[in-house]
Amino acid sequence: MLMIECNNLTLKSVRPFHLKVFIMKKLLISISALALTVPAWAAPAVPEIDAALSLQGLALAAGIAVLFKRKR
Amino acid sequence: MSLTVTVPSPVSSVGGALRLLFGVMVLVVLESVAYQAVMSLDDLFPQLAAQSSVYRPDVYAVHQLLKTVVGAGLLWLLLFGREFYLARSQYLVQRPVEFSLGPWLAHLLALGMLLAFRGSLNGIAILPVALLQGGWAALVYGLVFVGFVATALRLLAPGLFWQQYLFSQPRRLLVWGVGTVLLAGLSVYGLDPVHLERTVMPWLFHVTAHGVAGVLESLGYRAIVNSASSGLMVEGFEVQIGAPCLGYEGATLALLVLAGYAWHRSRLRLAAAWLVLVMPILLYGVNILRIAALMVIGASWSPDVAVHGFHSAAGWVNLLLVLGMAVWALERLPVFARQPTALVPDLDDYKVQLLPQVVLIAVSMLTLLVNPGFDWAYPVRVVIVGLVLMKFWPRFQLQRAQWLLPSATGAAVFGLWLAMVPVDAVQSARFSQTLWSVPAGWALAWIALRMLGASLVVPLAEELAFRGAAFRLLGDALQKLQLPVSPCVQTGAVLLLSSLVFGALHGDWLAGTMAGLAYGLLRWHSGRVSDAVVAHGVTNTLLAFYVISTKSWSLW
Repeated sequence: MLMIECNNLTLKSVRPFHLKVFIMKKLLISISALALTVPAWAAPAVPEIDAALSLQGLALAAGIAVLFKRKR
Repeated sequence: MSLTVTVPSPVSSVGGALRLLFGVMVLVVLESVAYQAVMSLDDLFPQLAAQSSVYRPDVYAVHQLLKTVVGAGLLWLLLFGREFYLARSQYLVQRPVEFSLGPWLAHLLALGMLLAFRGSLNGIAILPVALLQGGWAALVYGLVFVGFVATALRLLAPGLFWQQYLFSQPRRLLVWGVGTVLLAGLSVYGLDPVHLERTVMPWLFHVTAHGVAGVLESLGYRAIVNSASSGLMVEGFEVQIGAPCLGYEGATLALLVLAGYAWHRSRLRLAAAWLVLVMPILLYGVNILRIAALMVIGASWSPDVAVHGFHSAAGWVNLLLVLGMAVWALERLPVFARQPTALVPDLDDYKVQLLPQVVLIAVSMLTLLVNPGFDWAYPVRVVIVGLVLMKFWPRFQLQRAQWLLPSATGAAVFGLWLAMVPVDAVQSARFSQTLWSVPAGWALAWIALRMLGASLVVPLAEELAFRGAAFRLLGDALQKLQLPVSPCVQTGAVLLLSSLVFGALHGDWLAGTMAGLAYGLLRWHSGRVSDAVVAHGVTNTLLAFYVISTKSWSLW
């Protein structure tokens, strides 16, 4: 939602929204994700992958993500 | 005079459509991985497996088409799940549906037919081969698949509801339909696995192997690349670089995580999208360094450490480092972030309870880099996690525990564990042989620290994480969804989810989940994490004495 403030009949955008940048960013992310994940789309199954280690890796990534926050 | 008016954003539909498209793509990738995992199950039934699987391009095309539609449907539920749930609840209140066995039987029948057909295609002799060779195979498979999905939808809600629900948002349905058809077409005509095996994989091997050889030669080693066998040799140490070692899985995971992150962070500049594009390429580069390091370790130190320890652990360490650096750059650097922010540790409130478990897993992964096979590094984890527990002890705010009920629960879980997890005699013998191959004093010291870790350090770390922090985190997340369910159901969902994650991180996931449920029920009943710690400690102590007294070392 775009908030527009009307003050003395002058329209002023509080937070400018760049539609082109918005669409370019989303498109670029989508296309790069699509192109670079091609090998994983149809690659053969890999039963030798260490499932326990992979779960640990995912749990570690999730844990680290929870233990950090953004600060200005 | 000041007036504020709200204007609907003109980009919401564009953003929604792109989000839908991106999500469909993510789900198709996930669904492909899940499907291949299911298909690899025929390794478990070699007596049923035929000599080779039957590859039918037309059946494959139908399969790709339909699984894309299923993936897109799952995405719909993911994006609009809450809305769907509310609409369904409202419909069922107005028109209650009585339980009927028919739809369940129909779905089970469709599932059986689907598994029989896919199993036969994959080389498990269930259906006569003749049935798979006729021109009708693709059509029959398509009907079986559609039947499976239709009966599943029928179980989810009555047909009339689906009709009303789907056509209540025609524009959304149109965007979903067009996106799905485009992806299905790409999936059928662009991603034939046989084609990819012949084109993308050799190219990836070429880049990786010659990159590794270049790094090794700059270090003074002489590397030989054998493209025919996908092999690489350095001073007598030879490895075959299989498809998973080429780094595409790590790169895919990194890309999906980063793409999702950049997608949802609205305060990022366009350059963030370029970073998403570049990071997987950087990860491929880091993977080349990983394989080069593996070759050096294998050639100069220990092939066992290189192949069974460093190989996988270094992959995860690389991935986490690259992802961490990427997220840091996205948040911190003005070129990516409109309002740069710093990433700082957040140990406020209950989150600190997660720290010992995170340290436990991190140290496990780091020690695996140089310590494959027998877990000689276990005492290192005990000491480091013990120090973390001592340092933050006052902040865990553990209440005084009761002893009777937790001890009884712990003993019951010990019995359950013995009943569910069989002892592996070969593994136990190998464990014993390795343990007593060192001086007796060292072996006894290792056993003592192993007992201390199992009875005290691990129960504290795991219970603080799973019955402490995870209960709060999952509870808060469910509350934010504002589902119209009772608090009791929400707590049950938290209990189940945290137990499943707990089970997944233990060797036997089912026994682990049951144990997690028991400790979680105790925590729920008393409201104290400390009771779960006592129960877990009792289980592990009893197990330790059982292992030592009966030499059932495989249970450790």
